[in-house]
Amino acid sequence: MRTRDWEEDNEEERRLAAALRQLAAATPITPNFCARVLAVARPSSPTAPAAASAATPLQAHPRHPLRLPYRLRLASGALAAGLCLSLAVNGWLTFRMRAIPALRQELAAMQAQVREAQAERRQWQAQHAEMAQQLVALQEREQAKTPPAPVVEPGVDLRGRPYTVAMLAQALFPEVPLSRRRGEGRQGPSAPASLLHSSGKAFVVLPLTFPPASAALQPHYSHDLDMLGNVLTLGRYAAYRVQIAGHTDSLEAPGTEPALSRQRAEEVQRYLVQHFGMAPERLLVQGYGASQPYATNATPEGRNQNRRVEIVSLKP
Amino acid sequence: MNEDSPQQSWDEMIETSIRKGQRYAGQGLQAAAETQFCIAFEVLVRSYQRAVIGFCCNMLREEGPQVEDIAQEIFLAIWKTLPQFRHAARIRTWVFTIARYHCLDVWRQRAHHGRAAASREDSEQTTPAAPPSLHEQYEHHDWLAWVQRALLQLSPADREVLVLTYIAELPPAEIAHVLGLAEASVRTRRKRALDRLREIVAYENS
Repeated sequence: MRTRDWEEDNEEERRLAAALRQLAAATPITPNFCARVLAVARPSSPTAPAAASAATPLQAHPRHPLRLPYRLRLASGALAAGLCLSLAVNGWLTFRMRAIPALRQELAAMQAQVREAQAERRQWQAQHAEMAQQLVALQEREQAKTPPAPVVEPGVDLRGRPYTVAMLAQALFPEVPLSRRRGEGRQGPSAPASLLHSSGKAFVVLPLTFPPASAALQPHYSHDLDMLGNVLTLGRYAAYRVQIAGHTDSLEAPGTEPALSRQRAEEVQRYLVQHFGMAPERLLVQGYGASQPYATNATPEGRNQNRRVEIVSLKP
Repeated sequence: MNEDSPQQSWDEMIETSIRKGQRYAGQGLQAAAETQFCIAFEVLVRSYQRAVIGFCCNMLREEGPQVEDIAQEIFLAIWKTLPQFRHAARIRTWVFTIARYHCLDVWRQRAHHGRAAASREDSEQTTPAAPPSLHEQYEHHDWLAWVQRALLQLSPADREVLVLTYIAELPPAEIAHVLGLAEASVRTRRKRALDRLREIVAYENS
């Protein structure tokens, strides 16, 4: 390696090179040179390694002979920590998992309870439905037994409500259909059902109001009386007779109630005969006094209502 | 070459011992570190003593006990800095760097002390103490003496290059490292030095 790194150009240079090398090889050395040098060097040996140790003061203490590299120690520490952690977690989980069978049993029991409750509820619902059906059946039977009571509508009381001739006619003569051409009774929605008189006949309370202890007809009642006259003089009702019933309240004329009520009825009859030329035989007059109160006599309003004239239709 | 492989193996052994010693010192095992350094130093001394003494002899025109004292000082300096060897260069280069610096120190000291001693040495035609084997080849002994005399008459720079090349037996790259030059300039210097040596030898011969 060393002697062939360069080449001498000519023979002389090669000779010189060889001479120099031989000079080197022939250098005189005293035999104990090496021993002398070593003997001088060795006593000062503490200084050489001491310099090295002074440069690293942190590692002055003796280290464990079996000391793993840093990374290996890190890895083993992490492994040990992980192992401990996993063991702890395992133990805790096992301890908690002991409760699972008991919890499962509880769950099963509660589910059974729920099912029982649901069955019970279904039973009760069935029972309830049954009983509702029975109730409905009973009600129907009850209704079928008793005829429906006649609906008493205050609409036949013509006082204070607008009415038409058709309504008046329907109220007085409900069994007669209004329009013969249709072939059936035309019951309008506002057609008043007939009140059943105590005698079982249809009647209408005329919209006439009388002051207490007076039988005088007001002039503006002529409209209502005209409508009544028109109805009564219709051809289809020619065969019918009506009773004009007069009433009083119990306080206006004590002792003379029948006379006063008869007077009120006679006034209406006189008007009808005079204006419409009806035969008096068709208009029967009757005075009931205070025997048939329409409303209570305790209040003034009730007494107002009791002073009235009714038209009762009689059979032809 | 036969010389190469043993020397290389010695160098490796020295380096390994130094490394071990430094590791033990880093771990705090003082005794083991000392042992390793002692091993390294002994092997170093035994293998480099001839080369270092030859280096000093031819560089400084000294011989005999003075040369050995200088060589001893060189080896002690090596022993002191052995634990801090940074393994940046080869052992051989490192050894001869230290040797060269020591020789330069001696030169400076001598230049300081005056020229009288230098001139006295120049005038002496000292011949190296030849080993007994060369007595037989009288011609050869004469030739070697001439070469040595011529070498001593070279300028220090040329002498340095030749000594490092043929006595220290360093490759041109290592010589460039030791002298702090480029390798090409080392080669040119060596060539010039050989030329001058040849001239001097031819002049002396004639």
